[in-house]
Amino acid sequence: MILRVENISYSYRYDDAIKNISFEQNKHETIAILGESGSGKTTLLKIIAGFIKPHTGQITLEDKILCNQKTFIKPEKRNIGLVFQDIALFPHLSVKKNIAFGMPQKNLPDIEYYLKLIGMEEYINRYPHQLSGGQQQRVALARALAAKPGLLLLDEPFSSLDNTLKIQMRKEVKQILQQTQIPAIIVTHDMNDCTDLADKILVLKSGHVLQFDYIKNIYNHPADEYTARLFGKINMLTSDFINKYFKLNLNAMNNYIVRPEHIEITSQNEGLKAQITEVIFKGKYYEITCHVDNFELTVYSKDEKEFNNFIGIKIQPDKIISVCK
Amino acid sequence: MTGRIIIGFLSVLIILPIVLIFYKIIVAPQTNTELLWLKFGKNELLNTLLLLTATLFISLITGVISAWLVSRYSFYGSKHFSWLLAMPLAIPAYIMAYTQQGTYGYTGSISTFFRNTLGTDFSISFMNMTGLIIVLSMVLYPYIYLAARANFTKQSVSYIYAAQSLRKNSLWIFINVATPLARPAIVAGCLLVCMEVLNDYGAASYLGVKTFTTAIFGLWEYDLNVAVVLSFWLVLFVLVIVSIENYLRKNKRYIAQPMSNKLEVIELKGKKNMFAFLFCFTLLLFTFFIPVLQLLIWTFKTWSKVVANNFAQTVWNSFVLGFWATLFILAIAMFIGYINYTTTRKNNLLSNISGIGYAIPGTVIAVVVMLIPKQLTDIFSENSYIYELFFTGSFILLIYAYIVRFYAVGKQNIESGFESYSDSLHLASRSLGASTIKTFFMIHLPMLKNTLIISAILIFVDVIKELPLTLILRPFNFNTLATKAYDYAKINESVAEAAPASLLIIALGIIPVFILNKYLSK
Repeated sequence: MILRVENISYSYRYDDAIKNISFEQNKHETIAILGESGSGKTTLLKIIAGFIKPHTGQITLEDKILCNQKTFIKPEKRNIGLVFQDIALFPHLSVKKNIAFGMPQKNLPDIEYYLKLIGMEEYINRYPHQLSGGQQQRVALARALAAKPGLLLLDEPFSSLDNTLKIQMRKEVKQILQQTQIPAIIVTHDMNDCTDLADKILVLKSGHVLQFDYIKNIYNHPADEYTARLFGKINMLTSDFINKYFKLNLNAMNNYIVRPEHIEITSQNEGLKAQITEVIFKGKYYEITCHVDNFELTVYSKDEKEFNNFIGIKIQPDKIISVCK
Repeated sequence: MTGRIIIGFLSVLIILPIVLIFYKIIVAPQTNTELLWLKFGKNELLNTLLLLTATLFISLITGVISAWLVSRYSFYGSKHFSWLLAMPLAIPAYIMAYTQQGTYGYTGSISTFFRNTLGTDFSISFMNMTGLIIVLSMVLYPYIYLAARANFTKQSVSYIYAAQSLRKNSLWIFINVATPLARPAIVAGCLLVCMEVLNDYGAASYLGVKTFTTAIFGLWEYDLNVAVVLSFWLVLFVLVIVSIENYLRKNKRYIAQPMSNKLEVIELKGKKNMFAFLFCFTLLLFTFFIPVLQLLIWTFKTWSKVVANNFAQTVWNSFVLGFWATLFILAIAMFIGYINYTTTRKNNLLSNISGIGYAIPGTVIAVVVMLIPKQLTDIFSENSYIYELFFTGSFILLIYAYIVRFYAVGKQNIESGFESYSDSLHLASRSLGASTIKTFFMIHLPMLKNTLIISAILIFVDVIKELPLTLILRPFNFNTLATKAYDYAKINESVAEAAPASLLIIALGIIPVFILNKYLSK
């Protein structure tokens, strides 16, 4: 294990920023902290980096205590690298000097190694304002890596980039992280960052951890409705509905979720009969809203369907996810 | 923690004179009421009120009309007038006072010219209240001009178009739409004018008008305690003005208009073009060109005589004082600014109040600073004048008073300098292993280079221009450009000999006006 965060809490003057956060990170693992703005994800990142002193709890990196009630190691002594949302390259320093800033030995071959890693050898003497957004982001990453951190933190690293560049940068960052074998934590509100880069996701909401698990597990077994919705549209079903139409015997104490991609469309006679009330073309598929009696369901179809027509739908019992009410 | 204690200590040191005024009035009042009423009566009070009202009125009319003309219309020379109209701000009121009197007075250049060449008697005496009002309005209207111009150029075009679509003419729009929208900015400019009128000692004293400030100046040599009583009332008055200004600034954002659609200027033709040109040109002619030309002529006439009389030493004295005061102010402001920046509690009450000195007249600060050695003597060594001997007539009190008075300039610039770039740069440097001190030198100092240069220029020029404070606290027989110019004009009654020093002060004063102009045009 590389990083252990135990019962970390921090509150601002009037409200809690984060409360009792605990998680562990293994070697070579990338974790994504996912949450909407105000969920406390950046506060948590700043606490790990050492810019905020938590009110309770303990953080350990490679068996060294970074902070607890007695100890507090300053950010510059933590050996944790940071890549910022607004890139934060020093505008008055060249690419070379930016990369060398945190290097223990500032020798040219080492600087060139990191420039090669990001594919920008010829930009060594440029200044940040002479680079494009993507190039700046690459240099920021190289600068953080050049300090040889034990852990790399990335705060919404792609949010200032356009969509095409974002996809490309995710790919490049993943390759670099795999190559350098440095464990990383990415703070993001974008599920695509998580699926493309992370092994595990820590879902934060209003300062609380809703779920911390491998991505597949969160997809298949979300802790609640909020977490389930992170992967896209869902159908919320009651036990009465499922028991009545699918002849099952589910507990009325829980809520039930079925993802649209898990609902199979069949011929009218085969499955449960549903009337189409809306058809939206989404490119790769059609999003179809249909009604069974007064109950609304969303399903995805590869083929176009006619408005007002009837279709049959089938749900495999093992695809029904039970969540707490 | 240590940092915050040092901040507290430095802030207390800067606001000490103001605290001392309140201490002397509330805790240990020692007032010679007879002397107070002898030196300060109904006349001084009424004069000050009249001076404030009339100067404000003239500055307001001149400033707002000229700002409207250059921001709304295009006419002959309008682009140049836009920055030239701020230039009179570079002329200190005391220099303007003796230049005007020396130009238009009975023995002045213009009167002599009329008498000798045309054989007619023509002279205007400025040695009265009207003269003082005109002189102060001439150098202070740019405050309102700059504030109004900045607002007019940023006003949303929609309001003007809406009024035009309702068939209203330009004059109606100016009076009923543009000016009310610019009101907060104009009022802020007016308050600056008020503060400067209250600050003025040199012009009033030269022109022989008794005001609140000249009364304090006249009293300090007789009885410091009485001077402090008057200072107390003046400070209260200034604090009211500062509070109004603060309140307006805080509420400005509710009145601020979107900047996206800027107003297009209208090209004036024919008579209108001529009128706009003549208005701006005449204003500049009398407030800047003629005074500067007159000073130039005097300088050519008296240059060799003045230079022979220790002029180089005077310039050196001014530069040395300016240098040390600037250095101390910037060092304190950087230190406090950086500690406030790096700690989570960004607002520190003490360090916020420490900027108040800029609003307090120089005369008041000088009078109260004079009290400090006396208080120290009272507290630490009874019946001994050791502190008074140590401080009086040395540069320590003078530099300290400059710090109190001009600290706000450094503080405001450096604070906004720190706010001008992202916090992430600081955090990035720390996460890359640099300590707070290394981060300061490697990141913040280079980032703040321009801010520091601009602040240094502003403080330096302010120190060089400052008259009453230097007059009171300077060591015996020590002259700066400001005191030398004033001494020539007032004591030696030789205005022409005051010209070289005055011109140099104006030349230096033009630099901050340029900076201000550029900043407000952004």
